[in-house]
Amino acid sequence: MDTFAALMHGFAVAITPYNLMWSLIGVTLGTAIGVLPGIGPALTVALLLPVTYGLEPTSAFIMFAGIYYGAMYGGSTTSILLNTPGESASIVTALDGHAMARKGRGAQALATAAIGSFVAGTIATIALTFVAPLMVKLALLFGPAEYFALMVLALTTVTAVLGASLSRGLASLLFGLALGLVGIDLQTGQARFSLGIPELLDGIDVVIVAVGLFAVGETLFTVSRHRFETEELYDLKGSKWMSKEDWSRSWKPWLRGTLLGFPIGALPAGGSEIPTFLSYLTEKRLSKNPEEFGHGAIEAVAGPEAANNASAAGVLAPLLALGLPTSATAAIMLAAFQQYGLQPGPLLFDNNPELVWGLIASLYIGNVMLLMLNLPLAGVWVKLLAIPRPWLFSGILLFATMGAYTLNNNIVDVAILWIIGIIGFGMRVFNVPVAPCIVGLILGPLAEQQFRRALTISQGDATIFVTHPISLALLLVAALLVLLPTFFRWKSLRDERAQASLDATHSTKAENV
Amino acid sequence: MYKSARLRVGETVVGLFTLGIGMFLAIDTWRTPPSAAVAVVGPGMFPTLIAIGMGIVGLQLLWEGYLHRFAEEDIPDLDWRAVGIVAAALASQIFLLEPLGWIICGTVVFTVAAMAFGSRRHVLNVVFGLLLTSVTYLVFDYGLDLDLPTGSLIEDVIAPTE
Amino acid sequence: MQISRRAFATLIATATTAALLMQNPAQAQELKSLHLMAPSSPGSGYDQLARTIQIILQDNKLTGPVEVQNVAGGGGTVGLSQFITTRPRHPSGMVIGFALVGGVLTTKSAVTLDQTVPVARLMGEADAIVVPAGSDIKTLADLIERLKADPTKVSWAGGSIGGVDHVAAGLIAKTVGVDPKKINYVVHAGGGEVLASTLGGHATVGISGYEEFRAQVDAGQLRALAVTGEERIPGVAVPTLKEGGVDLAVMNWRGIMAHPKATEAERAALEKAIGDLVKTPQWKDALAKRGWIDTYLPAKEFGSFLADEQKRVETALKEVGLL
Repeated sequence: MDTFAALMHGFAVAITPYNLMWSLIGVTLGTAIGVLPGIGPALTVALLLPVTYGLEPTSAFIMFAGIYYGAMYGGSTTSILLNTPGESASIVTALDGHAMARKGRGAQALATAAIGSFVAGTIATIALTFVAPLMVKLALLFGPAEYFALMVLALTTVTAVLGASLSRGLASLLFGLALGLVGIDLQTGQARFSLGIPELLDGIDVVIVAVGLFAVGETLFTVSRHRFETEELYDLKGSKWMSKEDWSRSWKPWLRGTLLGFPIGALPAGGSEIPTFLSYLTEKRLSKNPEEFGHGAIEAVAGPEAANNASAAGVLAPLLALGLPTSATAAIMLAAFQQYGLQPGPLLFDNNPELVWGLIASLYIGNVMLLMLNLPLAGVWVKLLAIPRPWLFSGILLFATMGAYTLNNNIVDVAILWIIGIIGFGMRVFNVPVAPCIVGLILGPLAEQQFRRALTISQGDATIFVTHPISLALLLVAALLVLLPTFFRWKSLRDERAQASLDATHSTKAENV
Repeated sequence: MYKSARLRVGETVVGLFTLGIGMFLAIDTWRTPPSAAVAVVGPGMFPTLIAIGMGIVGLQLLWEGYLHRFAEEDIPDLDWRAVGIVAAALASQIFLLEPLGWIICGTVVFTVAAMAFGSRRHVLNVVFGLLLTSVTYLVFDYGLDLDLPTGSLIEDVIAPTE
Repeated sequence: MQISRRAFATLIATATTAALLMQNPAQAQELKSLHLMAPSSPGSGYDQLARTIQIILQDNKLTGPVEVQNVAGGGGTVGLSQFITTRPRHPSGMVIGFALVGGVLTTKSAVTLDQTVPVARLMGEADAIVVPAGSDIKTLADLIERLKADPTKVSWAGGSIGGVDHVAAGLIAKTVGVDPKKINYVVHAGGGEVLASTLGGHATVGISGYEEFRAQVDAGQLRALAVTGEERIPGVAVPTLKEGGVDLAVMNWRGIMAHPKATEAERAALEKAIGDLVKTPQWKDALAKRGWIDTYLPAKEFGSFLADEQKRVETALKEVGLL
């Protein structure tokens, strides 16, 4: 067990009081920036790079890793409490997390997110320790065709969030897909639907759309209904702690979320949103009470939160083993490695074992610290919801604007936020679900690029999607996911009709008699 | 509740919006000159598919609006004045944020929005808004080295450039 | 009310001006602060250069505090337009490079680099052409043979369209007599994805900055066929295109521009600070660690280089069919 000995050595490095201090600073800072919308771990690490120049590389990376994990923990807080996701990975959490908060179960939502993050983070870090090289080999099997199939699979998530009216759900999905088209087409450099506005050339940021639809749209709707509603929102009901039922409904989603998050995070173009979508879909399909989803199902918070934390560990696998950044934060950590003259990749484990294993060991420690920091904080955060409504919602609007502006230092983003906010309000008024729009916006552009990349490489031969075994398998699973529920619905509908006509004939007979 | 000659509003509005965006996509794609760069699948394929999808869904929604024309509207009662006030306050930021700066603009939005939510303690709201925006400004601009919009009235004074 | 507010503003303005006046004569030669615009997201090439400059200027006390601002978008043109149109509160500079020259052209940007003032070219980066270790393409000659036989059968994994990778691939094809519009160029979002696509064997060859591939080339997982610079990269045993019989040199470069409204004194101070920066051992160290090539050009020479480069890039983009 060579790895084990190396890991123990890593703990010896990480557990010195000096490095523990940097880890603590990192996780605290990470949690704080995760809570603030608009700034993510990528920007924070970039801002800290110059500051850490004089630091030992090991200490600096221990801090960076803390920031990265911490931001993943903190990201869920604003999603759940304020319906304002700070990062795209925590958008899914907002769907049911905020619904829980409205029902007065914000503390439980925060707790299941924090514990789920801990469980997922720890398991995924163990996986990173022992199977990183294997994971990386698997990841390289994914080419454009396989990615396209994965995107199609993730798109089936939309079937779980369509809502009561199929055509309204599809309208929302198509609107999201249309938003995703805006900007320069990567493959040809052609500007599409950018209306001659240079700020639109890079497309519309997912976070702005999510904050616009959720935070701004929801606030406008709340103010419009304010006079007519008697129900008190957000009032804490019962205990702050997770009940026995909460635990038993959470632990399986945590594990399943981890299982989805880690491998997809390790994919060079996997990202952290896709596993959260897939986790939501899985939980809804497996749940005994799928009708609760969208109205505060705890599984829908537990699963996606575990998935996004596991993917954060997954991202580190190709970064350390290949020097391959698969997220914005990883790209900056790569730049940081270079600042110290280190070259991540196959030789890093041999050349700088102290750094690599110290970093990995610090991830375990960071996870424990984050749990100790976040679980008690959950009780403090929910007190935010006791703020009188006028101040709470005005504050949400301020944070939404600030997030939009600081994203690119650009007033155009504030204008987009306003427009999307008005549309989000309209969607709430006319009963159009907002989740399909987000799914379309995130996955549409990825699917399109991979589809066209695959066909460029194969020079127009579309069989590439079915001749590659991984791609074929993913597409088949996607097809099953769409077709099976449709089939069952059709079957139960037919049975119902048969029953109804049977009843009808009975009753007519009865009348005749 | 008889609104015989009309379509139901909910479906109709969503349907027209979807049709409109679909039409915009179609026209814009159709009018864009073909790209000079070679591409096996051009930049127009996905927009065309989405436009077609929006056309179908838009028409379907209008049809549903027609089918439900006798049904009751499912739109809740809305306080349009309050929505208008909040929307206008947010819109003002687009034009005033950069000239006036974060603190003044943010305080205005905070106060106005709180008013729309029925708060009558205006002075307290202004004070609270000023406090919130000043703290966030200092945290972001100083602590995190980020740029929130800086006006020449307040920000330059509490946080002078040099 | 009206009067008192105005009086207050005047008072503040006077006080600020007085404070500035009092400080100015003391350090007329040196920039008291510097605002650097990096027209791309954190972690990108522009950002890395900006932050390297930031550290070295501050550490060596060549200027006062330096602040880096990232404004990504439109191939760098969003940052450029913001840089030109905003009223600077500090002396400000902007990091530019090959990609921005192309970006201005391909996005038909309303603002151009001619609206800024050249300060210095700082560094260059050579691209490398790599294949997986198991590929049957052993040399540049093999690749050219394949390319001539059927350009569509060779897929190139590279960075953004119209960027240096794309232009280099197109010009290689043109130099060996293949229509550059026919090449099978597959756009990837960033060097990481190019590396993954090449390592996984999904594309025939990868083309990107040498640093993206260095670790894998050292570990023997990738084979570098050629580097695109005029000369070999110091300490790297990979031949240039010219050595491989392709008469071509393309190099990515980055430099720094001053704000159009900068005063003569500010501009001179910035030029001096950058001139001192490139002489520091810390800068030499940064170049070596990041695999950057020292291509420093002072303001005047950089200005004429930039004018030529704009024409060269325009021609190249026309040849690959982008303009």
